Amino acid sequence: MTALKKFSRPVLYVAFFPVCLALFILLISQDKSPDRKIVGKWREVSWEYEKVNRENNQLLPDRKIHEHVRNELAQDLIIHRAETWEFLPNGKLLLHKDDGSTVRLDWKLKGRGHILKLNYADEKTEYYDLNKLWQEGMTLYFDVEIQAKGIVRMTFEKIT
Amino acid sequence: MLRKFNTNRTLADNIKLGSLTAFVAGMVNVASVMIFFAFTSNITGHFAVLAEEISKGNWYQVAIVFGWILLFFTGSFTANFIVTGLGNKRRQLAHALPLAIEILCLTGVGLYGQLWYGETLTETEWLLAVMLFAMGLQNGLTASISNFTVKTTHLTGTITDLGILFSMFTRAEYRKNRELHNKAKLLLAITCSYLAGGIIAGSVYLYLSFVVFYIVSAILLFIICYDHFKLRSMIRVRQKQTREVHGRQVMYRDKAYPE
Repeated sequence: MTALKKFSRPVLYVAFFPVCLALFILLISQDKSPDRKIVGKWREVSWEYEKVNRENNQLLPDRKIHEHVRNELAQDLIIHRAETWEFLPNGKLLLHKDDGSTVRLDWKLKGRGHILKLNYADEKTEYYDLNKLWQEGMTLYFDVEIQAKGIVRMTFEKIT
Repeated sequence: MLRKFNTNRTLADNIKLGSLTAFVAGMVNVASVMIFFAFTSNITGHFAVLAEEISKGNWYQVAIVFGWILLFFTGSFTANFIVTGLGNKRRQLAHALPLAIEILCLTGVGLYGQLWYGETLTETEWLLAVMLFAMGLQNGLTASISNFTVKTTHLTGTITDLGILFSMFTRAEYRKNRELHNKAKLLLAITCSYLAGGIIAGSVYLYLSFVVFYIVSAILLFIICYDHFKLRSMIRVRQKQTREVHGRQVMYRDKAYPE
């Protein structure tokens, strides 16, 4: 028994790192990386406030951001009035606007793939929090400084 | 700073080691947040993120964060393995080697960032992994050689201990305790240095970008060199003292037993 204990201790030490490595490989093979998942065409579904004010201890029902407020919020953003976002694998993002025009941007993912960096003609950079990304949809958050309303949640559905 | 081990270390040794390494950790952490949007000197947050990603079922992110935590662990493991492995025979080498590996890692990050970094997610994940390994090495080294007294890459424990100490100082009997005073001095030095490192990295990053990592490496190199030259001068002083003592002994012997 003592001999077995003596033998098993070094084996445990030697096995620790390969076991962790195997677990890492197993986990990483279960899922696609966010920079591969995001590639494709996405349609904007909604713009909502992440949190809404309370009145008389009840949440105000209207989380949805109406068109005119949305335009006001987005007027200084690169993504202003885009309907469809097309992420290309070469790091380019095409914003197809509702008037038929297209804007070309650069996109990068940072951190563990939870920050979306958008760059417009090397002049303007914006960061969005990529909160959820799955096969059919994506949720982005961004902080709006005006009107102290806080964080806006943009929801997308995947078209192609 | 590095050459003394555990119980032989003075407060001054610990303050010097703690301040400089905490300064480095503060710089690395702020630089990594600004460039890569992830912390590298502390992993408490990574555990929270790991739990969050597991609950969301994002297995790719789970693997990445698990890998980062494992690399921090591996860094600490390696540092202690070197310190205890080479320990008594070649102590200065044992203490300098983890720092030398850390310099290699951080210089590598700086060099790659300046020359080749294309901001892809894979590159970001790898560079963060290298930095977490480097911070694990540093934390493992300082904790190992100071008998777990100096931990410089995160401040959760430091602030907790400071809170406890300051609470104790409200009572007269503890205010007179020299050991507690020394502990508070060390913890304050670590906290201030970490903060200073962070502020400086945050301020200069916009102008210097990845050059910040060369500055960090230079500070680590200074720690190694300082110790090396200090050790040599100490050896010279000791040799001189031994020669003087030996000379005096010969003189007394000649006087006591003239031929």
